[in-house]
Amino acid sequence: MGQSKWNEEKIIQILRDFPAIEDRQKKEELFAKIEKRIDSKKTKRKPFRIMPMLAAACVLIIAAIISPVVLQETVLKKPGSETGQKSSGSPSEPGNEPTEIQKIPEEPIPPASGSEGTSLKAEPSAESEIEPKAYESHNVTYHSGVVEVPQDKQVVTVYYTDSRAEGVVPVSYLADKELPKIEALQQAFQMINPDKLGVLETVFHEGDKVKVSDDLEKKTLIVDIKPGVIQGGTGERMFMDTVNYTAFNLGYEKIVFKTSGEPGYDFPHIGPQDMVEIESPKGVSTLLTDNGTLLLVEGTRADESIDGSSLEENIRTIKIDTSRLGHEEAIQPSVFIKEVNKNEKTVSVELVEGSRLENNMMYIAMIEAMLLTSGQFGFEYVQILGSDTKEVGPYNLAEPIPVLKAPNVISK
Amino acid sequence: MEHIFNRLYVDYHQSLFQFLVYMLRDRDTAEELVQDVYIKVINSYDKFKGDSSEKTWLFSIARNVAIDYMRKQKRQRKTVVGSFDIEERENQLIHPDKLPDEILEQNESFKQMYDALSQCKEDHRQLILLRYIHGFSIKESAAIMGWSEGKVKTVQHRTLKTLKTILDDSRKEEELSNGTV
Repeated sequence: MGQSKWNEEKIIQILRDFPAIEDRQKKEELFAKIEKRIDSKKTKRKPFRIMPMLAAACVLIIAAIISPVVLQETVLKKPGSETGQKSSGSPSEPGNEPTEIQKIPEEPIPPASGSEGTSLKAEPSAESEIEPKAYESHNVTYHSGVVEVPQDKQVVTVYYTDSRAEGVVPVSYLADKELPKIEALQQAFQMINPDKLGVLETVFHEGDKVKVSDDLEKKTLIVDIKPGVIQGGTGERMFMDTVNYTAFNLGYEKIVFKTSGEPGYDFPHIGPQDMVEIESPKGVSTLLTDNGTLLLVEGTRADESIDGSSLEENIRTIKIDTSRLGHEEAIQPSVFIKEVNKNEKTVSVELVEGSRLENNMMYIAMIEAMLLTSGQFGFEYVQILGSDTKEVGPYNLAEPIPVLKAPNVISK
Repeated sequence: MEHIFNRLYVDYHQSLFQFLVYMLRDRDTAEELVQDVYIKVINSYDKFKGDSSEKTWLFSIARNVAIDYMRKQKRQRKTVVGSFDIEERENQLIHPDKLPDEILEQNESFKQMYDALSQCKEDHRQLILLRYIHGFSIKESAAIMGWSEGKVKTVQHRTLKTLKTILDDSRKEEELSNGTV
């Protein structure tokens, strides 16, 4: 057998000499196709732009007439105030009533500070106990997260699956702080309406098939399952993921499985399991459900080829799904980001010079995705540098922003 | 819109199209996706200024468009196969490798290299394309891939070694089958 004829230099040389591959399409032909597609997208847009603005203006006037005092108080009590962050987009203010939907027109929203910012707040709806407070644009609703949890509340983040059963979706509920953790979890199960959000339950959420309890001393979530209720590889995987991440967010370290009170559960694919160690989710993306809900998704990286252990790569590969917004392309931080640096508690995201973030719902989601990702890696703040835009929704980009304490909050 | 397209076309089209063909290993798909790339670039052009890194930005979008496409393909394959446990070899299964005519016309070394590249991990192949076929610097490649420069250097080194191993192995197999050993 002879010596290898390949060495690094030869490999590089061959690669450099790789033949050029010409596009068979003519330039004019290509441009015609692109123009046609752009035009067709434009015609598919919602036929008017003025209506959302009118709606916002009406909300503004009503809010200004009916509740100027209430609104002013809200500004003063904003949860981000201690850190310089504004609260108008955060659903977590103590004293806020449950329902607030911010209608966000196509045009950038005004700054969230002062009377302008608060003027966008809609009146609370009196008809529902648990209507979400959210941003809304083009029939897409985004339930924003919170960077600060009210003192009298605790966060319960419950994981569901997307409609393709491919990834897990966190949905957060703010329960009263006095409630024991398990009761808060059960209350969250009751209060979150997955159908409305466009996500799916697993057996975990079905109280007649699975009973949950805990051992706080051992930081263990106990999941007691009826025999034979978990079916198929996908069902098993999504069950395990929803239980795992929910338990992680509740602060448990282990999950103990039981079958009708007896130790262990015989899963269809992974076999008998008594106990599993909990894993933390890594990576954030977004999901636009068939119901028009935009949600941050954890544990699912936009780009499967990236190194999941790298904060920078996870931030760069965030993608905000804007497919239902007609004219907007997916928003990807990688387009803007020049550098991501870590410094003790703070992640600095330096944008490419001239980058212009927009003050609208989609960019709020993008920033919250960055905040959530940084939180997953143990950081406490995110500082965004180099943006021409200084405010995006409730976030003041001039100062470090605390990481998200809970994504996709659907309740007060 | 047209003037943006014209300028980008003149400056980058050849390189951009070639990147997509080598990344996707399919000319027809590259012809479709290059349109997507221009649409995204035109629609978000006002969000980006800074001539020095325009090419990097363009390739970053092209890479994302191609990755999106490949993910959709994977998803469809999963649906068709009806299994969620077939992910391991997906990198090799996006497309059957059709050698572009331009490669077919070259000598055997190019065909071997094309095959060897196809066997590398998806993101490793992308990096090699960027570095050696498109001549991006370590820094530019890092920006496009969303990696640190250190990682680019490491992966580049590792992939060149992998390519050598694959090429050597295929040569040995060839010699064995020809009875020349």
